Amino acid sequence: MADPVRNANADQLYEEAAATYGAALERVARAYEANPDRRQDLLQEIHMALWRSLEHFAQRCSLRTWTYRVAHNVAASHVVHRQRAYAGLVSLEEIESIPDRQEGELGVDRSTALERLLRLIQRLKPVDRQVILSYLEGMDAASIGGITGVSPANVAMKIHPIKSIVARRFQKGGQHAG
Amino acid sequence: MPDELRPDEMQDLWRNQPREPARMPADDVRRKARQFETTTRRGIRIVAVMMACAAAGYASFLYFFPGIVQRIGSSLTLAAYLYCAYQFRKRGPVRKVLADPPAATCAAYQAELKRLRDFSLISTLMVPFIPGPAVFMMGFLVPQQGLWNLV
Repeated sequence: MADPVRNANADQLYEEAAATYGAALERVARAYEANPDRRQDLLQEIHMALWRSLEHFAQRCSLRTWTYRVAHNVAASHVVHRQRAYAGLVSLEEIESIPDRQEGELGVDRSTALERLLRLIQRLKPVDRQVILSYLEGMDAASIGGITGVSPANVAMKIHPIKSIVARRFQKGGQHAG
Repeated sequence: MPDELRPDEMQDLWRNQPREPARMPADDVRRKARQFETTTRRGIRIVAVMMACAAAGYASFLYFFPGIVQRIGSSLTLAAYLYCAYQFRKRGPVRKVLADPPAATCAAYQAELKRLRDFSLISTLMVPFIPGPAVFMMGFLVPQQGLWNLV
């Protein structure tokens, strides 16, 4: 008996998604898992879930939104399952009060800035992390809402503090590595 | 402050971060494939045990509920369980991952993933279970006397 909602082009769609958003999926995995080995496992889980999910992709949203939504859901479950790591996570409102050891340091180069940005993101609770990551990927509030389920107004409210935190903590001036 | 990182620079920094080289040694592929095999096998065993218990329950209903409609419902449900058991036997069991060369392991792993993905739970395992329990429940609603008159 055939499943009526099954997408016949699932494999083709997966190949397209992996080719177009492969790098972005790696960045998502990086933002959710600091350990390199576990990160590889998480990335594979994301690809597996995406491959399976595309069977039911009915094109009600863009392939990009779908891909990010699946990736964030898998990554968020990964964080929640690792409860010890989850216990130390904070919300956007709380992160402002956590001091950064290198705050105010001048001449931070690109790789150091990226490391610090990652550290900051990895401390956030999954829902805040989803919003910030989508913002960093260059999405607008409506697309972020489509991925995270947060209303566009709330998206703007969440993005604003992180922009000011990052602006304060990360001062440019060092060498820009490729 | 002019030295602050602007939002567009932050996005640029994020999107242009160096990519990590993908690495997947053969042992890792086998490990993942075995892990997957174990998880799937365990899942199938749990489902099989649950199905056996539920089937035993419906078999006992044949004895405890003598009404004809309930008996038809129980029989249909048992038939659905038999059909599911057949489907599991035919398509469900997980093939063991062997210590083949990496390419063969990858191909076998991929084939297994595809096979399980195509083993649709909804059409294979859910649909056959609709009529039996529905008829069984109907047996409590339709008065036996009235049904016999209809027959």
